[in-house]
Amino acid sequence: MKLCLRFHCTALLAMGALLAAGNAAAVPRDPFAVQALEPDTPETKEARRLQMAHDMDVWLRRLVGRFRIEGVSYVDAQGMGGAQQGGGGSSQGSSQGSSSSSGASGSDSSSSSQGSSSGTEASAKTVKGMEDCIGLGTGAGVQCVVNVVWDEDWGADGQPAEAGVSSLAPAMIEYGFDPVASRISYLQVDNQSFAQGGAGTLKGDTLTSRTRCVNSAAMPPCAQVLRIYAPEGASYVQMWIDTEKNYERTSTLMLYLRRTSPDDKGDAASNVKLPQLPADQDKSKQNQDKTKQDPTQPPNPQRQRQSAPRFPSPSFPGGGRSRR
Amino acid sequence: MVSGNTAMKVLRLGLACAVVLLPGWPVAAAQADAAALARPPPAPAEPIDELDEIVVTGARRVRNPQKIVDWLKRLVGQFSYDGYVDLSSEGAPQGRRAVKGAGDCTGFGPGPGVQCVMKAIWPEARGSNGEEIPGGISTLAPAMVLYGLDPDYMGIRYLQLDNRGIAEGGLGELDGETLTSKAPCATLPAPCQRITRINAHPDGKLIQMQIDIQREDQRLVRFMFVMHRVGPVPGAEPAATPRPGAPR
Repeated sequence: MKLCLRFHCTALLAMGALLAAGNAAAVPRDPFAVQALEPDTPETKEARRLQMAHDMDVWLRRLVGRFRIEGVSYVDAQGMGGAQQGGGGSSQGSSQGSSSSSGASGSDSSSSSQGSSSGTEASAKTVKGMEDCIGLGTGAGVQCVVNVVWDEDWGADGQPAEAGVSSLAPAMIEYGFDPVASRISYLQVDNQSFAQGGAGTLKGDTLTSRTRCVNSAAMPPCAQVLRIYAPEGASYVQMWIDTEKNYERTSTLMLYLRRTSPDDKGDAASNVKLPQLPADQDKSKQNQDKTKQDPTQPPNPQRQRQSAPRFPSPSFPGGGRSRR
Repeated sequence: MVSGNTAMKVLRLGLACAVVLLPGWPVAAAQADAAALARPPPAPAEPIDELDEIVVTGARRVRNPQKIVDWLKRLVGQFSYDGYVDLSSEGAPQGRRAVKGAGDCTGFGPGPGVQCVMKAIWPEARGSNGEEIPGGISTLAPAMVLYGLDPDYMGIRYLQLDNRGIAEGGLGELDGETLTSKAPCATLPAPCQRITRINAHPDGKLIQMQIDIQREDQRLVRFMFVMHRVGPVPGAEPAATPRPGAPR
């Protein structure tokens, strides 16, 4: 009897399991059901665009401040200039930053030669400089004055060698964003007054842009790839400027920008002398009169800063030279 | 090759046509005059104070780098701004807002590259429901513009940053004394075009900057800034001033 009952129970359970399996099999399972994305609506597109605009605004403000620049300029005629980057161009995390900073600060000599992974000789030079970036108004626009030098290298024909002479001594760069295209636009005017600019995309904390080399009409196909890594809350910004000729990287400029002090933000911002409208001039005159009338009033540090030179000439511990 | 006989035939045919058609010409001319008299006199033409884009021009694009550099040098200095912002697409005078402001441009490098800081304001204007309209509120207080030479295209590349951090720029071509640039709008979706024309007078005292925002060939807003130089023209010889005590 017990055996019969157990048999019936087992049979019932088996039938139940079969039915359940049958039901399950009857409902078609969509393997992409979970991964299916909602269709792009105008609202979601607008939300994404606004988010991008916000991200670009936040990122651009990280560039503001005064920075001391250290770095390395790699040159390799055989297109192995970036071999020492350790990880290629795609990874730009903190590990690469530490390698660049140690590479820059570890070599005291102004010029050295390092072997690349492929065994070819790649010359490397220590780069030094300063950068002063200010924010424009309350927005996210940034204007920078940069002065970067390294030991000059001239060819036998009197022409500068590949990346032999710095064109960033000095140079001016402006950064702003294009909210419709969701891109960050920039323009750099170097010490020969040549303008080079473009638009880059922001992914995470890294801006990437690819432009044609300036003054390269008679050259083989030449492109310049700019990458700027500015993490949140960090006291540094990293830059990589690769030059590619005939689709091969021929030189790389790696820059490690260390913020000199948090107070320098204010100093840099006050270096730009904004033009005054007649109404503003009246106000400032009134303020000056008030200050004159009250000699006990302490000097206004903001006013003192405004009298500072607009383009501070950086001093380099190594005494870098630049050809002007 | 056309033989002599064929040429003669063509000449004769042409003469015959002329003989047939010429007697009708005075009649047609007289009819046209009569029609013109019958028509009401045309309305007096409205004064034209602006020129839109010149489609046919005899001026040739300047490709001489020295001339481009000379033009860039005219931008350097301090300027006071006036002019207007035309918010009505038809150009009605009531849609114009008077502009006032100031600007300071610094040259650097041999070119020179030019970096300008400007501050231009005008009375605020909004739509009927209080919404923002293109050009209704000044975003140029302050703003920055950077100009540099593009040796590959023999033009002037520039980037303007407004007080929101929005960048608008492009490559300008020099025609005579006028730099013209066309670029997509940075704040309005396509199809929208921003046409910038900067006319820097050779005497260096006056610069006119006209920026049109157009959508599908219809002008949405026009910014017309007239910049008057404050102080001497750079490079010009200073006026001789008599020194005290010097013989006259």
